[in-house]
Amino acid sequence: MAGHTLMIYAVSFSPDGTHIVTASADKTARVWDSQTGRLLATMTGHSGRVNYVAFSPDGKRIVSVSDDGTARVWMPHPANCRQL
Amino acid sequence: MTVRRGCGCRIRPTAGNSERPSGPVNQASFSPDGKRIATAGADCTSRLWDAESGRLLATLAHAAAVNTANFSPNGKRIVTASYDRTAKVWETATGTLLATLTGHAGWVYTAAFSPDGKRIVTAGADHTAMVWDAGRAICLPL
Repeated sequence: MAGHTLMIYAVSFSPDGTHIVTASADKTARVWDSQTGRLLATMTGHSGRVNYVAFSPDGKRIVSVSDDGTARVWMPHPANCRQL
Repeated sequence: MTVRRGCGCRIRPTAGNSERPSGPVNQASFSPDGKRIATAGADCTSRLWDAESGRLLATLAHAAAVNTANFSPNGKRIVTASYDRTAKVWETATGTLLATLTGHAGWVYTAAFSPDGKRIVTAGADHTAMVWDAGRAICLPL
């Protein structure tokens, strides 16, 4: 799974195993198809390196945390992303 | 699942600077029911958030940067691991400190509950992993 432009700091499977989320120093988190390795989404918005990512237990949300001092919750619908 | 590029991310105004982590955030975890998020920050705090509203519910303090915050399997407790050489156990509902796990000779990088919630494993810069009785906060000889 290639696409990040800087070091990856964290990886995690979705609860059902179908997706993988990665966190990178390139300030993005990315979602991949765990079977094909295809990049499905790039979550941009953090202004610093992304240190960690995790799926919610139901697999519908992702939390990312960053050197920019924020935690962000990402959801399927674009309007539902929030900064904590 | 689809997470669209850019996500149309809306920044929620924070109620005050005290609610904003003042340094890098190192790690985060959802509670088992998905309703809470615990963050671990370089500002010496772990913060407990409502995952739906983004409201800050509690601030859990260490004497140095916090590297990990993880929930117990039933969600009622949180264990935090810190560069202050301790791990701490907190009550999720109130933010009350329940126990301080002291014994590592260096930074504590990570901590997690066992699946039954009765034990905690910690790992540190002292090259050791330690297993603790989560209720009595004592290190178990292994």
